[in-house]
Amino acid sequence: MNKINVLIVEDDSSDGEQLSGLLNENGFHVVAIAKTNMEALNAFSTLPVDIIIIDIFLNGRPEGIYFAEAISAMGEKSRPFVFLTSSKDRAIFERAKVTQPYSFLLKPYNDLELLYSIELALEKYYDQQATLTGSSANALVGSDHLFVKHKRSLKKVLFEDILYVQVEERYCTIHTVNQQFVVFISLIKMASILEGSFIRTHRSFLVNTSKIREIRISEDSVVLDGDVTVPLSANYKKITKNLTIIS
Amino acid sequence: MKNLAFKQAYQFFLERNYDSSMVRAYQYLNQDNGDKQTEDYCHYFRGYALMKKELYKSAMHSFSLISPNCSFSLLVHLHAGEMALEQQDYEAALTHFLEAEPRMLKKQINMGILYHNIGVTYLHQEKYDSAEVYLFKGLSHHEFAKDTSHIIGSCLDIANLYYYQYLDSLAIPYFEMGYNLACKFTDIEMKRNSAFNMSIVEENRGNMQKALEYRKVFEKWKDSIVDENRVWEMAESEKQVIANKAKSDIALLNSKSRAQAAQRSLFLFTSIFMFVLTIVFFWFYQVKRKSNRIISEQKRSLNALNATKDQLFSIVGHDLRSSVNAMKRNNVKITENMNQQNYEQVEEVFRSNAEITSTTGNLLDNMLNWAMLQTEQLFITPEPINVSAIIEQVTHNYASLMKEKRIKLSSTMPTICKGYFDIDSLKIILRNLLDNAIKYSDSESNICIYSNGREENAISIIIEDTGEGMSADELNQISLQMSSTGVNTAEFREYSGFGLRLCKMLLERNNGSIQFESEPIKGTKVTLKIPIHE
Repeated sequence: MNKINVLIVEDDSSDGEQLSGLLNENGFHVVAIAKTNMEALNAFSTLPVDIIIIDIFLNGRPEGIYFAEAISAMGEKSRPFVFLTSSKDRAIFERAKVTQPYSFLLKPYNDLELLYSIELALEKYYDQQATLTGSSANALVGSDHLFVKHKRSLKKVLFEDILYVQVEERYCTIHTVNQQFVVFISLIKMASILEGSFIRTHRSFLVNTSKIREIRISEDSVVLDGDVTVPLSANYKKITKNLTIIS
Repeated sequence: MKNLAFKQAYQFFLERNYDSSMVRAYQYLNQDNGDKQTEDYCHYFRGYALMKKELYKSAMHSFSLISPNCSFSLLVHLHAGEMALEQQDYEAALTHFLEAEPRMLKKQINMGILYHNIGVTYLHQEKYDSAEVYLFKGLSHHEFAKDTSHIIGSCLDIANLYYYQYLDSLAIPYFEMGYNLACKFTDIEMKRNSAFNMSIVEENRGNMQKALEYRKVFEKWKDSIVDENRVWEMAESEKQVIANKAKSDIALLNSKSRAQAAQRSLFLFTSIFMFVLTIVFFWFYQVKRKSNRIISEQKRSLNALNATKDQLFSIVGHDLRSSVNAMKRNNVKITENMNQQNYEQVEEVFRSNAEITSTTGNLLDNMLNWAMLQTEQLFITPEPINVSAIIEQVTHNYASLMKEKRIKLSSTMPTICKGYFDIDSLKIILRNLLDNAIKYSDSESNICIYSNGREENAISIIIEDTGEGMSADELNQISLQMSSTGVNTAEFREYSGFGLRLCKMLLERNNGSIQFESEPIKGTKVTLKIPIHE
């Protein structure tokens, strides 16, 4: 599991420091604290960023909004963000609606509130409502990784770290070497997101090909890293033909 | 073609249009092959016309062109004779008359006039004997015919005959006869002539008186002719005047009626206009009245709101002041205790300060939120939320305070509790309720937060404390406070009901509701109803 990369855009140093401290305590990785619009854009383009926390008022002007607008116009390259503000200005609100879905956080806030709004922002961005904040699932599928809630902290899991995915009714269980997470997505959708290196070995199983160690056709099973065994059904035996087997 | 000319000539002659007749007759005569009889007629037409014009020479010429044995030669001779008489060509006249005589006799037409004319001719020729004969012949014929005017004429001429012969005694009776007849007769000309004759006669006889009388009569008839003419003229002019007057009367009436019509339509338009105007005024008046009513109502409600605001200001100011004063006192206590090294006391005072700070902070938050709500700066957007998570976040802030006060909080909310609410509104409400619960709870008391499951379209969140509780009166006060216009009296509580008022407003905006149950000493139970869907 990896830490989630956060970009902070805040012109007040003490506020920025305090926020950064809070995030670090809760297992996030703060990539930068930008004080102006320019700095923020710079950081965004050069550093890996998963989520942005923006103070609306920078240097007395609602520049945070401009930055958010710039980000949301980037299409695929855009990211979810959380707005921080010390007052609820109606005009700001209206303006902020122009950009993509966001979540809002009023100062002063506590760490629970911060985490909650980060989760909300992710849910809104990837359009998987109530996955992290409230359901029996605890993972959210992003663009090249999952966002998972693990004991109060939010982490991300890269797709390449997934061993296999097992479907049960309306949700999938994602298995890594040490952990498993529940996602509220159908297997088919999962397959389309994971693409590439994942193949179906069974009606209910999706396997990461790079993690295959052994294919035991006679035993109708596939062995993965970490000595994990996954069933291989008759229908899917032909897939093995597509794989290049090295010894 | 030629027949047409003759026909026209004849037509015109009958119509007495002698000029046109003459022209047509001439047209006919100019053609070569006309028959003699028709030509005779044409000559006659021409001659007659010329005679009428008194162009006797030309007329005679025309008549002479007529064949002597035409059917109407009688007429020709008669006219010729008359013309000759006029021209004083007595010889010719006699010739013509004597030519006419036998013809007339044959036809048995009244000879009176003819004989008279012959007599007159002889008279002019001074052949008195022959004149006498013929004049008497004429008179007898006239008397036979009872032709009064000609009788008078004959009498007068006979009288003149004798008069010229100075046979006055023979003449006078005939003058008198003529005069008397004329008096009875209507012809004014006759009257005049006979009167004139009589006056001459009397004058010659030397009867000046009578002569004057007859002269007067003559004058009278002469005048009366003139008078008659004048009367006729006057009558005509009177007629004209009357006609003109009638015309002008009509014109006047017409213009009058037109004026009346115009007046009527003007009156109609004016009345319609006034009516419309009245309606417009009335409508405006209604509008004004309505707006006035609205304005006075708005004024009333504004005044009420202002009064409320002012009262709230004073109460809140009072609250803040007492909080700050309490903190000042506490600071003094701290310094004192620090000096005396009573560290436990210091801890206690710190705790008290923490509580006061929290409450004051909450009060200020409430004020700000309330003001923003009133000025439409608070934007409430209900959305799907996890109520449990929100509750957790809010209670997180009170953790240290509750620990200090040794109040135990137990939340048995399920991990996920779905609701449809505006996040910040819920936070404000929860903060207020928790604040109150903590404020009125002593040490070692409990606060429980749990959900009562769902009913219909809402879930119930209950916050229960084991604090002071409220009496029935105080419960009433709360419901009064939460209504928009109620302002509590300062006696009731130390703190204004600002927070609860704000909570009520936020709940309304989010379709939620709140209920209070309380018993003095036992505690208070607050039930929040949160909608689940939109």
